[in-house]
Amino acid sequence: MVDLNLSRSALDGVFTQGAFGAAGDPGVTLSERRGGALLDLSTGDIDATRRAIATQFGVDLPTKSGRTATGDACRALWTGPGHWLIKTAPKPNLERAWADAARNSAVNDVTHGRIVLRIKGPSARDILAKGCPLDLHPTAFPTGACAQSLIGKINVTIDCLDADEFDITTGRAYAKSLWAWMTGAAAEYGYRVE
Amino acid sequence: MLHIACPWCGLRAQSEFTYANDGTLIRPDLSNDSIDDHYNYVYARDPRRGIQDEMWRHSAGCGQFLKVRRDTLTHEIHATGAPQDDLDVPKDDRS
Repeated sequence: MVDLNLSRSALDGVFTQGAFGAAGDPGVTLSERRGGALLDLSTGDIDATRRAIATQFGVDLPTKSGRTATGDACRALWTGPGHWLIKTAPKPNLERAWADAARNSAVNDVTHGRIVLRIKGPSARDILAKGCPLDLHPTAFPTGACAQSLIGKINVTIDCLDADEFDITTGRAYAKSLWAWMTGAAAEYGYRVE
Repeated sequence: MLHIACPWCGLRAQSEFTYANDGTLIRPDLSNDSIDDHYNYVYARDPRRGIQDEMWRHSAGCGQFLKVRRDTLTHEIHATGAPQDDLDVPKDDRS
């Protein structure tokens, strides 16, 4: 019987806490971010949707590639023209609330189809650069930037939270592949899983 | 590897893009009942040695289709733009 219990981590069976790889101070800490909600918002009427969302949720949806914006307990990432990924806290009828506010938009709750990995530490940029074609230098990809790209050939959305802290969102089905890539790439720097 | 300037995201690696099609094709009107016209639209291609216009998709980025003017001999990319853009018009002059 297929187990459809989606409250289980997609990393069940491969996620083990502890210190791994090179000895000494770990280059990064890896963790899975759970408990948040993800919405996919897309619209053909960018101005109207931005006005409505700003009024209702206090976030100015960014209109340029690579930009993020933070609002009342939510964060919006530009993922395409008229297209955003919204990170917020889960609550009942969340999708409905956003869809009611943004009348000209399509809103989909994609929480259970994605996973979010956090990579944090002095070697974070070096590790990501091993498998990602983006320019990850802090001047090109500063705090508050986001991008959709590839890591180890897996489609990802990268959210730069701080100089050495990133949240990587990918499809749930890619969780174990990305984890295998990430732990492999991090081994030479040493990493802690928590 | 090519570096392609996405009109929305800026210069990105070719690995983020997927080649889509010949960028000069215009689909025959559905009222056009010439089998040849529809056949040519779907299948007939004229591989070129030199500059040609292509459609690409920023599949691992913003997901948008874009037009790319590329030299098949040197791989040099002369211009990119949104699907509706006229690549003969310099980028800064487009409305």
